[in-house]
Amino acid sequence: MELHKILVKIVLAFSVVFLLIPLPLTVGIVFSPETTPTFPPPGFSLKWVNKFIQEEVFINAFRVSLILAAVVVSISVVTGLLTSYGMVRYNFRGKDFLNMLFFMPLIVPAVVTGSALLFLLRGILGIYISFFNLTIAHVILTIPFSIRAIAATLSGFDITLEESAKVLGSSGLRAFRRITLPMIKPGIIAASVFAFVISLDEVTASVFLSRSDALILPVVLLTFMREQVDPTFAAASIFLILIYTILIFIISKTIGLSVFIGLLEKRTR
Amino acid sequence: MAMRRFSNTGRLKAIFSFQKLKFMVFFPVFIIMGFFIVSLAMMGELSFYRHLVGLQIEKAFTLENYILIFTEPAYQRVMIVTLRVALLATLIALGLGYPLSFWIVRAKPSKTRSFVIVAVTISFLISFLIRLYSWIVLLGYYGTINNLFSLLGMSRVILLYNEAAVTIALGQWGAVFAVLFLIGPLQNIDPTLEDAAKTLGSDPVRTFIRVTLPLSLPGVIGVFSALFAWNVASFVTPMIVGGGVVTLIANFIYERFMFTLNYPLGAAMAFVLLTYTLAIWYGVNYFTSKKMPARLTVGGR
Repeated sequence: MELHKILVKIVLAFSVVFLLIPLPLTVGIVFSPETTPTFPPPGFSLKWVNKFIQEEVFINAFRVSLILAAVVVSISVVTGLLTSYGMVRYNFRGKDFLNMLFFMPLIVPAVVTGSALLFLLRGILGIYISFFNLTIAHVILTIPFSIRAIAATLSGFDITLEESAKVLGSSGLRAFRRITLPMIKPGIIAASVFAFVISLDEVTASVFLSRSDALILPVVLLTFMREQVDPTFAAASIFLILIYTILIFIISKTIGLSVFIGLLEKRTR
Repeated sequence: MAMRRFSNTGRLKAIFSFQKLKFMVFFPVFIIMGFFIVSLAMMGELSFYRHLVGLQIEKAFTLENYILIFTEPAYQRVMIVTLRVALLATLIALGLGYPLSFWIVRAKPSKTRSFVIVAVTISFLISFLIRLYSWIVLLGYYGTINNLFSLLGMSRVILLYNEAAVTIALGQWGAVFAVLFLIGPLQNIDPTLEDAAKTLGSDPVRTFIRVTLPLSLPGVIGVFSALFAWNVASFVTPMIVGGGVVTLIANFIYERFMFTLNYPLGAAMAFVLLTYTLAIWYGVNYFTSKKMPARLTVGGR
């Protein structure tokens, strides 16, 4: 084998290892009986998973996080659907400006969005309901993805299909429900998955807004990670990996992973 | 006859109201964007106020927050460290992501290839915090690498809580991103161009440097600017892997808003960060292609 081919193989192997480091490490830690995180684990135990389930802080945070994610997904997808319908179907002045505006939450750093919302919602408007504030923040952060994913499928869809349904006597809403909606299903599924994953994983903006009345999982995890008492919080990874696996399974069964990656294009952390 | 006329005017009315009502589709998004834009505007105003004590602020118009940020050596250092870490992490990400992405695009379908694609997708979706925790496990004082050192008879060293660790952790995240988002641009390169270069006597390395790399440059620059902009704003990685020792701009803002309660200074730093991000995001693209990248736009293509 030529030298450069071996070199290429080494570089590739290195990047694969580097990319995939996190996964086995965390899974190993969760099932390790030791208090100080070590890898490879010296044994196998479900101690931390048990402790995680019994610890009320984590379970409550998990529940709040899932409810929040569900609320965020519904608002974000409905808003995204309406907006992308307007953006794709209507022609009007200032469309380019709106495009840029709807993309802004992706560019503006989450720490800026979080602190600005903290100042506006708590400081000026005096809204002390953390769940409401978090919903606003997460919808802002997920809306670019919802619009993008749905608009991508909507603009690739043949409008004459919807028009012929109308010509054949179907009402506008009925045509939309029976023809357009099934056609843009991939976009809606992708948008829901994005919104769900982002909401479940968002730390930076949430840390400003999540207070004791609505502590969400990522914020609790961050706090415990900084304290580093024991690896209990890492057990959350098992449940999260489970959720992600289910999501990946849903995606591959409904729209296919490659379509999903195509619709993904941009995602922030 | 009367019926028909009635239904016609009804339809006319419906069309007329529809023309006005159809823009109601933007109503929800405007409410959401309203919160976003107004909050940013309020922050802008806040950054010109004067901080007194605690949560008290004086509604003045002063530039002293911005002057302080750019003259105080400790604050200057925060900005320099941030830019250095972000740039290096972006280069690491591209250096590792590019070859892997190229391989995914060019390799024949095989089990290894499918495995790599699925693995990259999973690590892309996996929780950001979990990803970070693994660095503590790997680099910690009793972590894998230190255990290896002590097995080999060397003394344990502190690998975490420094700039290098933050840079590597950010680079790892970026590499996953780079692999996925370089696939598109690399797929668009016609492999026959490379074949042509090879037929004309060019060796593979030269072909890559003279043909493939220049053709993929627009995609690379796009990923570079996105990653660089996001790395500049990184917050959780320096907090966990940097352990409070490495303070980047975002951590500085967080401390002002949550602990020292110097809101105006935090707001000013937030606007400095926003300026950097916008400059990187749009500036890099502007100077290389002289136009906005097409993929930033939505719909109406």
